[in-house]
Order: sequence, then C-alpha cells, then structure tokens
Amino acid sequence: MVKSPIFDTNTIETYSNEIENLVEFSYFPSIIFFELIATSIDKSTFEKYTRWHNVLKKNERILTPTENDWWETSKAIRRMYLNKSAQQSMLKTLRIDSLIARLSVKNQNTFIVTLDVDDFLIIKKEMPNLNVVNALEFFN
Amino acid sequence: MLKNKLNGNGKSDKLPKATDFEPTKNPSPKIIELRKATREAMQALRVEIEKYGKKPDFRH
Repeated sequence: MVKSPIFDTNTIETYSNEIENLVEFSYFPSIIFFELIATSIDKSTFEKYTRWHNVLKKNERILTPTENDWWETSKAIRRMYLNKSAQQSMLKTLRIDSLIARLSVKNQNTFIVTLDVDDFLIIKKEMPNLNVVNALEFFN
Repeated sequence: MLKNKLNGNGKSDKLPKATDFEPTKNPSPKIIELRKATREAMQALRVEIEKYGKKPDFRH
C-alpha cells in the first residue's frame, strides 16, 4: 500500500500549487489549521480556510491528536531533554513538529514532507518509526 | 526507560515522490469538492503572502 504524505505548515505555504494536485492522497494535521487560521488576515481568506477545513473533515483527511498523543509526545520530548538529543532552546521549536510526528507514527501509512528535515530527524531518534522526506526531494 | 511500542524500531520503507501520485481521472463529486476547496484555500494563502508577506512562524 502506498503511503500518504502529511505536510507541515511551512511546506503548505511553499508548495501550495503542488499540494492542490495531491489533496486526495494527503492528510493534514489539525495543528496546521491552528497556524493558518491564527495568522489569516482577510475575512475572505478565513472563510476559504473554514470551507477547506470542513471539506477535509468530511473526507476524513484531518489528523487530530488525542489526549494520549499529547502524553506520548511529551514523553518523547522529555527523552530528548534528558538525553540531550536536542539543545534546550530547540525543545520549544520541536513541540509542534513532535506532535505532527506522533500523528504520522500513529497513522502508519503516512510520511512527513517537510522543509525542516533536520528538526524531524532529531525527533526520529525518539520515534524511530517516523518516515520523513525533504520537500525539495519530494516535489522535484 | 521504556519507549512507547508504537514509536517503533527505526526501519523505514522507500518513500514515494509527488510524481508517484496520479490524480483520479474520473473523480467523484466528493473529490471534485475537495479539490475545489483546496484550490481556493491555497489561492487565498498565496494572495495573503503576496499582500502581507510571509506568515509568522509559530515554531519559534
């Protein structure tokens, strides 16, 4: 079975044209809507995101963390902290990415497409089943 | 310290590229709706970035 891509917000912003053609094969973490909605300015943009969100939800294309996902993610970040696999200043940066990583690990037929590969490779040390590909490589 | 079993053992398969996914030629109404909503949202995103600049990064 072919794995489905999951995109983070930075990748969606950079490759919006390409993602249009991949939507029926892709999954979107609910976290990206937090970032897109919170930073939308025009009312028309907000309305289009709302419609997109509703249609994705109807098609079961949104991955949302459960209470247990937050719990397991916090344990993974704790391990990074204790093992010093990430600099202390990086732990804040890795919070959202770790949650996206957790969603991908849980949904085994998925992989993450990102421009922030280095960050996800740090997370992979604590979530070895995580599959990550550089967006530059994926789209070219 | 025990890791959650779900997090696995580090083996990964060869991953597909964007070109490996071929859009359905005769899409269902649901897929047509999905494509349309996505196209409009992505277009709105591009317009906002053009008008107001790159969005703030929540990761930092």
